Amino acid sequence: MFKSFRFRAALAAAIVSGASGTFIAPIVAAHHSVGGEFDQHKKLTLNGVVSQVEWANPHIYVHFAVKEPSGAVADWRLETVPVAMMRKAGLTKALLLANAENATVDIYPARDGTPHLGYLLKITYADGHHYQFGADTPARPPGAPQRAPSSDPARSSP
Amino acid sequence: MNSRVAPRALGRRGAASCAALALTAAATLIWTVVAVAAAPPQQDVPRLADGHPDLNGTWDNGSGIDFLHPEQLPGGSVCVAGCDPPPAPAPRRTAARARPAPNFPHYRPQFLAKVKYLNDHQLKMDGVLHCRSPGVPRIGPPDKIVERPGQIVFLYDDVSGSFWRIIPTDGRPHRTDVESSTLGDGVGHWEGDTLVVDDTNFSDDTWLTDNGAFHTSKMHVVERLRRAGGTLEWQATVYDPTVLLEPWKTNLRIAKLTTDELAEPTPCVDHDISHEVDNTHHDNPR
Repeated sequence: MFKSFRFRAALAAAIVSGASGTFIAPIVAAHHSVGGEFDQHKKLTLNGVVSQVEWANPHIYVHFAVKEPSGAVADWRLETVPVAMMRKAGLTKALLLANAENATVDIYPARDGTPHLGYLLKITYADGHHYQFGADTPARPPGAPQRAPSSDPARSSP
Repeated sequence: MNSRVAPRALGRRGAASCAALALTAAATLIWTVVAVAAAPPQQDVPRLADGHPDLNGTWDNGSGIDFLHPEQLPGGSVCVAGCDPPPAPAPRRTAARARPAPNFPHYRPQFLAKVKYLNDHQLKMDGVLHCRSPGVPRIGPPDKIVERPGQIVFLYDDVSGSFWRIIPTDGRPHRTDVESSTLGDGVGHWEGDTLVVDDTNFSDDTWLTDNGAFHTSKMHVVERLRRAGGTLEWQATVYDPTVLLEPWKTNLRIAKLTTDELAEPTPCVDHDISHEVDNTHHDNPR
């Protein structure tokens, strides 16, 4: 299906920036532990096209088409917040898909090694506007002790 | 006060203080229950032709995300979450700063191991994490109420899916022609201005709340709903003496009347659990 997309030169290879540091981001999610599925110590930045949005609970998935060095197009599936959170922020499927080409995403990759699976922290569009879904904290200083992945601070019973 | 102090170390004065505190708490609880049950008719509540409070409408209970405060930024940007700067390293928690103990049912001792096992295996065992019905009472207050003579309909727009319940209020008994279910069989009646919904006939495959709080199919739930102006109070009491030492009350939930209409039901499709590399999970707000 991604053959139908027109990719620009800027869509080229994914830029991996996580090698230089470790990130701890307090992510709010509504279901499972983000840290149990995604590596919150390794942030990746990718360039590509927002190709599809799965508007579903418990998490919306944004598909992001990235042209790899080999020329193949990878379909990254990026988990993000639940529908209720997206609605509360006034964001819609149409807004996520608008101006979809030549976008940049910051993500955490899957811990289990599943290729092209990540947690979406931030998406920045070609005109500069962005949507943020998780904190972008500075890299951990060299030698600093690691902290356990954060968890949702909200606790409630029915 | 050090919460780890053993009871015997409190001494006679301490024990007396604890007893007084317990009596005060019990008296407060009884007063609250009596006050809610015997509350006089309210003046600021619209009523239907039958004189009962008008509960019709869409009720925003926060969907468990009251803590979320999205920010609209210049240029069309939006910060949905993680908007605040990273917090400074937190000092060690003291008793005064510690998170309040969660409202958790008190289980009979022989069932504590089962609760622990379920909690330790929540990712696999909690149906809510697999898009299954949260059941009553975990589903909380209804998101929309349609009230008509002799019948009230509860509609739910839950992260696990959309659910509905039809609750007769014409005095008929519980049905005997339906299978047990996660939402049970509810019949309603009015106690003053409070709608009381009596629920039975449950399946045993849901939890009362997070962290392994199972129940049996013999569970009996009583929900109480009361409108106060533009808000709706909801609270449920769970009776399951086979496994619980005492009835368990859910947290009091307060929903606000809103002109927003419920949206088209959103499908719930789990893609995540199979990718979890450990058993960590966080609380599931509701």
